[in-house]
Amino acid sequence: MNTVGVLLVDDVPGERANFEHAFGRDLTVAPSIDQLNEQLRRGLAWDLAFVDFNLSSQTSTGLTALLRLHHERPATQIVTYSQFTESGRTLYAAAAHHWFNAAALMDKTKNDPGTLVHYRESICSGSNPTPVPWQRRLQWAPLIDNLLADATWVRIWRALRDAAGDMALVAEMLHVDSSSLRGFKDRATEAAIEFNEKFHDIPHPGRTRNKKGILAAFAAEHRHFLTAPDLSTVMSPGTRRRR
Amino acid sequence: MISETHGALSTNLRLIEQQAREIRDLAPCLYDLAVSANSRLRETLALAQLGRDSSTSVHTLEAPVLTLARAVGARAHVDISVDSLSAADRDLARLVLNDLVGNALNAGAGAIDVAVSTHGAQVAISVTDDAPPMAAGVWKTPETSSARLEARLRGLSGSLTSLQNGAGKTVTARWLPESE
Repeated sequence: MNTVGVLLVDDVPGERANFEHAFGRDLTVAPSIDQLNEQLRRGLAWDLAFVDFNLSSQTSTGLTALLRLHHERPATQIVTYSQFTESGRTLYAAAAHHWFNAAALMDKTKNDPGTLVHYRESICSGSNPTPVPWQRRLQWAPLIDNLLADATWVRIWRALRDAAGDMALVAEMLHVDSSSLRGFKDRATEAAIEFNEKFHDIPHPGRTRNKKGILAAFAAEHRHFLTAPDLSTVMSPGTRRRR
Repeated sequence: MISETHGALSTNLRLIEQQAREIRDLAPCLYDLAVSANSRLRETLALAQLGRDSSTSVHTLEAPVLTLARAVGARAHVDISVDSLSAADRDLARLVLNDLVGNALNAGAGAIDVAVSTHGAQVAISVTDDAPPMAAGVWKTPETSSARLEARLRGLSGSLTSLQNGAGKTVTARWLPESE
């Protein structure tokens, strides 16, 4: 069998133990975007990349790693890799699947060496090792475009979190007229309800006037993704377009 | 900083549990300790969500179940109607949940319902799942987790049962708790 190069983008040193056990010398680790960029400059290439969301950085997350690999190593197949009970990770899963065509998803709690090798073999043979319930959820990944329909929405989501859902306060914080946020409020509430239903098994509330509560809860639950420093850059289709 | 420390602890405890599982036959106490430590950390995730101010609440047992289910994208519903458990019983509950929920998810369950309740003088933990029926010759055969768990429960005047009901299966662990 030919060598299959594997990249792990993850800042936590302990995480690499199972990967080293599974892939040995075929493994490259990039604990930060700087190191990933350095590896790309050196011409390293991989067949498969496991990309975590949180890189303990003030400026970038796994979204930037996905963008860099998307542009520089388009043949590298992506595995979205995170602990999906943590804040914002389901949005990360949706983003990686929909924006970057990730080949598979793996929760960190399932990263024993046997499963890692199974993922590599499955993806290389063209099958999808993602657990079936996750595959079903990821069919709804395009909903992320409804939650972030416009680049300006990133600022609104951030402000919403600080304002606990109070749109008048959001308008004040962003120095805009509150009537200009009405479109966001209606569309984002619908999108949040649908995302909650498909990804978090939260039943549809029916006709509701409590948009403030729904938006505030969503902004709090997904704060790590919605306040990611690189989100507004990465979400732009123009940025993701391959040159 | 707390979040980063939590993340690093989570990684290390998870790796310890994975490695302890491999030597469970040789060192069962080590495995029990690893499950307990990892579950306890996961339970702290539930404190803010549940509005609890103490990790001694039985209701925080929900968090490790949700973590296990979320890992494979499964739906999980947890109903806890027990008011309190001693420290030793809570540890056994962690082990039972880890085993039963883990087995259901590994068997391909897409939805699980967990109930922690009392049944007469006993504590009962039931896990209902929609995974395909168990293969013959697996349930309670020597060296399986179900056999180990049953032996442990019998030592506490308890039992481990499985009931296939149409497309669903319910596994129930019961035992007599310590008196508080």
